[in-house]
Amino acid sequence: MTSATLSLRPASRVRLPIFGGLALAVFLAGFLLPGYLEGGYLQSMLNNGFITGILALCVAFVMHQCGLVLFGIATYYGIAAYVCAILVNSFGFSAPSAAALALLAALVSAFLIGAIVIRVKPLAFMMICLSLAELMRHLVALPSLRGMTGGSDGLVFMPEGRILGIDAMDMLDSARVWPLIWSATWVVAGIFLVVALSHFGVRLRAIKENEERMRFSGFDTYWPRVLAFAGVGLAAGVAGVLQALASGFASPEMFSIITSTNALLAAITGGVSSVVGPVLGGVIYTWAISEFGAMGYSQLFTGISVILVILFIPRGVLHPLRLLLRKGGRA
Amino acid sequence: MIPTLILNALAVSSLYIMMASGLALIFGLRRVMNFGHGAIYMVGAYLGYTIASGMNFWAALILVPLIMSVFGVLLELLVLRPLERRQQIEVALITFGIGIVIAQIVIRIYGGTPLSVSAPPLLASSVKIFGADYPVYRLFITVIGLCSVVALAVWLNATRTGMFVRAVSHAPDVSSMMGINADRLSLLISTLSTAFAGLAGVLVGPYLSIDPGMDVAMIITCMIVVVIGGTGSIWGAIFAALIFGFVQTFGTVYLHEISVLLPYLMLIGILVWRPQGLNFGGGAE
Repeated sequence: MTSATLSLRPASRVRLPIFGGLALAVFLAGFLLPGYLEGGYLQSMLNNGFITGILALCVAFVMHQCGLVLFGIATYYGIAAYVCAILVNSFGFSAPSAAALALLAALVSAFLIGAIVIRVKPLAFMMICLSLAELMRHLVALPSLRGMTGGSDGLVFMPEGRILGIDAMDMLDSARVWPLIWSATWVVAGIFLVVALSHFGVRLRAIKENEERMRFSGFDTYWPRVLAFAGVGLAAGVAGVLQALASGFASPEMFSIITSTNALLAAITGGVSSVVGPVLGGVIYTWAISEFGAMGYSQLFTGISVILVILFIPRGVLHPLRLLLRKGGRA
Repeated sequence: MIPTLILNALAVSSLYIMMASGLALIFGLRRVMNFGHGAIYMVGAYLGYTIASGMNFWAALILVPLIMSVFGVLLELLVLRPLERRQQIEVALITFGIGIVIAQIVIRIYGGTPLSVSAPPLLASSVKIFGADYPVYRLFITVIGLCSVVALAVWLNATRTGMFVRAVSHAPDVSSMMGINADRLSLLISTLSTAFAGLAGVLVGPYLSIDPGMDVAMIITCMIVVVIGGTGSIWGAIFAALIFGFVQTFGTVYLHEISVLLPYLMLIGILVWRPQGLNFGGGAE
C-alpha cells in the first residue's frame, strides 16, 4: 500500500502526541523566522518557496489520492492572482473581499474544469490540464483586454484593507507577509492530511485503485474526484492570492508550463504521499532555480531535473528511506 | 477571400498533420506520448535555417529530415526501449524534460531572436487562383502535406510493414505472439516520426517565423489535435489537424485576436460531447 504515511497504523497512533507536539513547536517557531532572516533575499526566496510548496501539495494530493498527474496547476494559481488584481484595480475592491472572491473564482473554475477533465483518460487529462493553462496565458495577454489584465506586461495593483490583521500594503514586505504564507501552508497541508485520512480520502484512493470495481460496488466514482479537483483548485488559488498580495503583481508567466512543471517536480521529489516533502521540495527547487536563474540556466535546470527525478526517484527522495525503515521495523 | 482562406488552412493543416500523425504513430506502437516532439520540430526549423542559409533550401529539405531521423533512432534506443516497462505518464514526463533541454540548447546556440528563411526562388512567386494572388510556397506545403498523408495511408494499408504497424497498434500482445518484432517496427516509426517533425520544421521557416517559443506552441497544438482526434488514433489525429487548421485560419480573419482561444474552446467543447475524443477510423485505444 503506497498510502502508508497517510493511513493511521497502530504504531503511529502511539506516536501521534509526539508528532503533534513537534509539529506545534515547528509551527510556532516558524513565526520567529523573520526576526532571524531580517527580510532580504533569503526571506523572499522562502516566501516563494512555500508558495510553490502549496502548489506542490496540490499536485501531490491529486497524484496520490486520484492517481492523476495534474500538469496544469498554474491555471488556478494564476486565475486567483488575476481575479484578485483585477477586482482591486478595475472595480475598487478592498484586499480581503478581492482575495475572497479570487478564491471563489479558483474554486468555481476548478469545479467546472474538473467536471470535464475527470472523465478523460489519465494521459489526456495531463495534456488537457496543460493546454488549459496555456489558454489562460493567452487569454490574459489579449491586447483587447489590456485595460483590465495589463496584457503581456502583467498587472500591478495596490490593494487596501487588512487581511487577518496584516495591512495589505505591508504584505509587499517579505518579512510581514511571511506569517500569512507560513500559516496558509500549514492550513492547506493540514486539510489535505485530514481529507486523506477521512472516509472521503479512502474512497478516492479506492477509485484510484480500481474505478470499475468501485462503480460496480455502488459507489459514485465521478463526483468525489470532481470535488477533490475543485478543492485542489481552491488550494492553488490560495497560493495565487498569496503570490499576488506578496508581490503586488500578476503576470501571464504565472500560467506558464514552467510554473506547473516546478510544482510537479517539487511534489514528485518530495514524495506525493507526504505533506512535508512537497513543501520542502518547493523550497529547494525555488532556491535552486533562483541560483541557476542567475546564470541564465533556470529552464535547463528544470528540464534536467524532470529527466533525473522521473528516471531515478519517481517516488520521491524519502521513498527508499521509508522502505528501509519499514523493513527495519518488521525485522 | 474564402478560397484563399481555404488554401491557407490547408497549408497550416499540412504542418499539423505531419506533426500529429507522427505522435499518434509512436503512441500507437509504444503507448508513449512524446512531449519532446515540439522540440524536435524546433531543431528541424533551426537546422533548416542554417542549411538554407549556408547551402540552399532544397538541400535543407532533404538533409534535415535525414538528420532528424537520427534523433528518432536515439529516441527509440535511449528513451523508449529502456523505459518500456515504466508507466506511460512517467515516460511522457521524461520526454517533456528532454524537450525542454533540447529547446534550451537550441536557444543557447541560436539566441532568442526570431529568424526567418526566404523561400527558394522557384517557389517565391505567386499564382492567380480564383482571381487572387496566392504564394506558390504555401501550395507547395499543402502538396507535401497531402503527399505525406497519401503515402502514409498507402504504407499503412497496402504494405506488409504497414499491416504489422496496424496489428501492433491494435493488439500488441497478440501480434508479438504471431512473431511480429515490435521493437524493430518502433525503431522505424520513431525515425519516421522525427523525420516528419524535421520536415515540418524546414517547411515552416519560409512560411511562418522561427522563434524560441515555437516548440511549446507546437506541442500544445499537437496535444489538442491528438486529444480531439482520440489519443492514438492516426486518422482521428489527421482529421483533427485539418479541423484545427481551418478553425485557426478562419478564426484569425473573422474573430481576430479571440482566435488564439478557439483551439482550446474547441477542445473543451469536443470533450464535453465525447470524452474519448472523435476517435474514429480504428484507434489504438
